Amino acid sequence: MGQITNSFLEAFKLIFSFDPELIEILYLSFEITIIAVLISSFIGIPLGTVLACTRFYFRKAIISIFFALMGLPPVVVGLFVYLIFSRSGTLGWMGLLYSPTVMIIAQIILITPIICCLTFQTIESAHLKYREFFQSFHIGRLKAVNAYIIDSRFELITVILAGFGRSISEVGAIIIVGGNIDHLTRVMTTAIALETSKGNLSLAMGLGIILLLIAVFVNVAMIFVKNKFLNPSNQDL
Amino acid sequence: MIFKPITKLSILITIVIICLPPVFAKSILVQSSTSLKNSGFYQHIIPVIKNELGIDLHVVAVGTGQAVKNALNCDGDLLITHAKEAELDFLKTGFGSKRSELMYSHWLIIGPEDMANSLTVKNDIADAFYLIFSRKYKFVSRGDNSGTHMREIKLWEKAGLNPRKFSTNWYMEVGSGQGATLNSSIQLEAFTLTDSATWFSFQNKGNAQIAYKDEKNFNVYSLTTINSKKCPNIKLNESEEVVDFLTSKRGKALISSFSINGEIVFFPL
Repeated sequence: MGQITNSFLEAFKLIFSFDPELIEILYLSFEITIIAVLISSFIGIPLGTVLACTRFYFRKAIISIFFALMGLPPVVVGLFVYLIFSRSGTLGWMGLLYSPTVMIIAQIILITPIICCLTFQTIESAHLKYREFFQSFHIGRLKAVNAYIIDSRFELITVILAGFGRSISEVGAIIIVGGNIDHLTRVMTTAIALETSKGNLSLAMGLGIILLLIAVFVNVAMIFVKNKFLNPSNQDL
Repeated sequence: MIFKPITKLSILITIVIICLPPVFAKSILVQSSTSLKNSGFYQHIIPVIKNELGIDLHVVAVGTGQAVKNALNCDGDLLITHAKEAELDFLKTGFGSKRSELMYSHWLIIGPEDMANSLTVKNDIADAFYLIFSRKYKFVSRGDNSGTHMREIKLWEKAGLNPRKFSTNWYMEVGSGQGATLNSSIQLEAFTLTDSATWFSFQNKGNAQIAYKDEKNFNVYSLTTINSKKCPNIKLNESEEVVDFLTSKRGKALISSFSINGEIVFFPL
């Protein structure tokens, strides 16, 4: 028990010390996660919508593949991205290995399938519900899709938050491609891994508590935004 | 209504991506053994090197085996490792350009408090290893092809044993970094091989103690630069500058001024 109490103390000490190194690590964690989540949303949400509302050959196969990709082990993604961006790899000439950019790329590979599949499910259920209704009024497909997205915006925010949660807590892939370099590619999760390997368990746990608190804060903020600005009762559609 | 914030966000992302901190300063990528990073050694030397040479060291800490593999992919400008044979093999591949021995620390066997005295009678570390084998004391092995793991295998062989044939009842390969291995061996009340720098800086010692200190053979760290003919993107000039600085008189003074809790752990060669 002593260590757990210590780690809470350590967390509060860290928070109130405003340690510049901690702020740097936090900043990078959020920069990488937010950019990765936004790019993944821009890919995943349209892709999921297209898969939900259209019919074409191999559609079911593609959907199954995306669902399988949701369970991608991060370490495998890390290795894959490493081999591509390594100096001896296909894109090695870009010199991106061990940079935040390549960490974002690994994160995008990890979370795009999640966002795509969850969007697919949300939009498909709206599509099945309203398809005949829209057809009977001769409303075009684009307008219908627009309506589906507006109708399921609550669920889509949850979808994005799921991606955020996966991304901010991820360590296996980004430690391989980022290298956990001090002041360059060190983020919260890789810092926790480093402190654990130094035997600094309460500091590692303290960092974990801070990560958790921030994740809770982000989720609460998103729910607040959702209820305040996206609630149908506040807004004309 | 719903699309407007998205448009704004997309503009924001573009701005953020453009503003991603570009790296202008001179820097080299160091593929390093984990023990040097975990002990805080780099935090001691990086600011000085930055100050003196204007070169920033970006350190990726992986096991020695992994570090050599990464260097074979040209993903590193300088190797700082501690396994002589692996380093010499690396030079033979033609990827290495020059190897210079930098400093040494001590090899230690760590064990639970109540059994810590059982190994001290032996006057050679290989004998201590044989004792662990013959009494079937629990032993945790790195199992990750790191410098420490290579050393451990060598010591078993020196004692006339083949670790591949050991029973898993007492010989456990965890396949993790040094810190994680220490964490497991302390929880399992087992013996394990480590180096003095890692041990003195390790915070979660529990009731484990030094059971044996090897005074005969040292844990030698060396610097290996990469051949620019094999890897044209390598920053050879910068890494040679760093090597020259670290092996100079001032570099040696810098190394010996590093201490953990008042204990000097690295001795320049």
